[in-house]
Amino acid sequence: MIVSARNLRFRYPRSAGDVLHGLDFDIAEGEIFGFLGPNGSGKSTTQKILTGILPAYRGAVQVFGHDVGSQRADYYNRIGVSFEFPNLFEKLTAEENLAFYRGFFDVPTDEPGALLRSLDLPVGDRRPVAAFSKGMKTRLVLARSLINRPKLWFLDEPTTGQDPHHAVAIRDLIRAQADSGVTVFLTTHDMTVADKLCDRVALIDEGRLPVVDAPRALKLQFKEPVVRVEHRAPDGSLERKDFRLDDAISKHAFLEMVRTTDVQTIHTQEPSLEDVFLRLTGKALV
Amino acid sequence: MRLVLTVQWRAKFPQIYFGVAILAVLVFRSLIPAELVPLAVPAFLFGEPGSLGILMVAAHRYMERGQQSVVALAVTPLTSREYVSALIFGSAIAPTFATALVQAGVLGVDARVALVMPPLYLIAVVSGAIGLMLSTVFAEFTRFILGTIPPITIYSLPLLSFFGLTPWWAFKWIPSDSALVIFGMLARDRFDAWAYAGSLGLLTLFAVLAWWAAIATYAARIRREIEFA
Repeated sequence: MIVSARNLRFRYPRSAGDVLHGLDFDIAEGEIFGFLGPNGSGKSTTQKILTGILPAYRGAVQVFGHDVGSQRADYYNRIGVSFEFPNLFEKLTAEENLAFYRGFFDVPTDEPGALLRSLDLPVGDRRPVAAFSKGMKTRLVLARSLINRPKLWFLDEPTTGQDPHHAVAIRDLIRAQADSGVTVFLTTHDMTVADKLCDRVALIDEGRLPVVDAPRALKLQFKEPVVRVEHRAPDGSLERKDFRLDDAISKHAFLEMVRTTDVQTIHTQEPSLEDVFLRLTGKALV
Repeated sequence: MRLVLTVQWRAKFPQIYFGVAILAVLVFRSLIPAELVPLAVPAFLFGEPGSLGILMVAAHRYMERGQQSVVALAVTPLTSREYVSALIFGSAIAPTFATALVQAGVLGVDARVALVMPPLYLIAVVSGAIGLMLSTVFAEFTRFILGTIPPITIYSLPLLSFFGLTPWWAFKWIPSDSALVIFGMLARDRFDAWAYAGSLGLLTLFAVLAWWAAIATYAARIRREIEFA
């Protein structure tokens, strides 16, 4: 396992109680592991603990087989961290940001130009980063987090502020990194990103993990055995009816409708991850 | 290597200092009477790196706080000691050269320019460390400016004795006094190697203490900023 957390707890100074209540999870090498939950659920706190920013946690957290609390500078040669907030040096250009940042690492690093191109950012642009759009800044933060060729890549809401084209490109990049053996820890409240990318997701709510599983397994687990049929009524209007498949009478009615009406569409009703989250916690993700 | 890179970067920004220095030379050469130069030049050399050193480091800090870029540095192999050292030592370079330029422009280009640079640099280091520490106390830059009044007042007290208003010995243990001793002797062109070495030694001691205190402050306060960003 690349990451292993056991009974992970954390309390901020002067706060009334713990914000993390004994989290347990493991992340395997090359896995895309999603941390899915609403704002304030403990996603970012968990990421900060795993990246060594918050050392005062309780419980056991091992990364690369070592206690995360005892990690030293070399740990940062092996991880990449992409923040949700675009914490860049705004007076510098994109290339200057990357060139400056790469100098901190003691391992081989990537060329800034190649990284910029991979995220559809301009090469040779003399504008300071302050002039960039939010989407460009987020992509630059992503590029920066890859500069030291990390083995473990932390991503916090990587598609925030992106248009659909770039959101797809970022998802493809994340998938490509995972395929090359990079382990990805992805915190997000975007169920589409989690659903399309993650090998497994942990649903976090108020510092607790009610479930950790593959998105498909979760959806199947919470699936309603229902088929929705759209058909033309005699007056030409479109009508919709749901049939339970675990009930003989309903099943018979479904077959009767297929046989006797002008059926337009038939769909099984699979829940989204958001539905699963709602079912488990009684809360919406956003 | 990381430290060198970061120091270079910190030293890069404040080109405006040199514009201020050129303006100061023009003022000195056209407006200050020749008999006042031995007093006015040391006072200027004394004030510029100190006040600008504090402001320069603070400007970096408040900018980085707003950008949260210090959080990005916290997940690199850059250590807190390297971060603080680069900020203080790097930010002190430009004020040093810019202020030395004023001395060269007013008193002439000679050995005194080389002799004035170490105390200028050490003053900028001390004041930069003070600026860093104060920036961790005050959340806003405007409050920070008010907060600099007490340390700048203490820093400036040796000027009273330099201008003959109070006894010299009263301010011997204020770090800035050592710099004033050096600037005064260089402006009057009466170099005393022992006085120079002694004053420089004291300034170095104060600079090391200030640097150490700034690192301790980083551990106690800036680290907290990063944790709760």
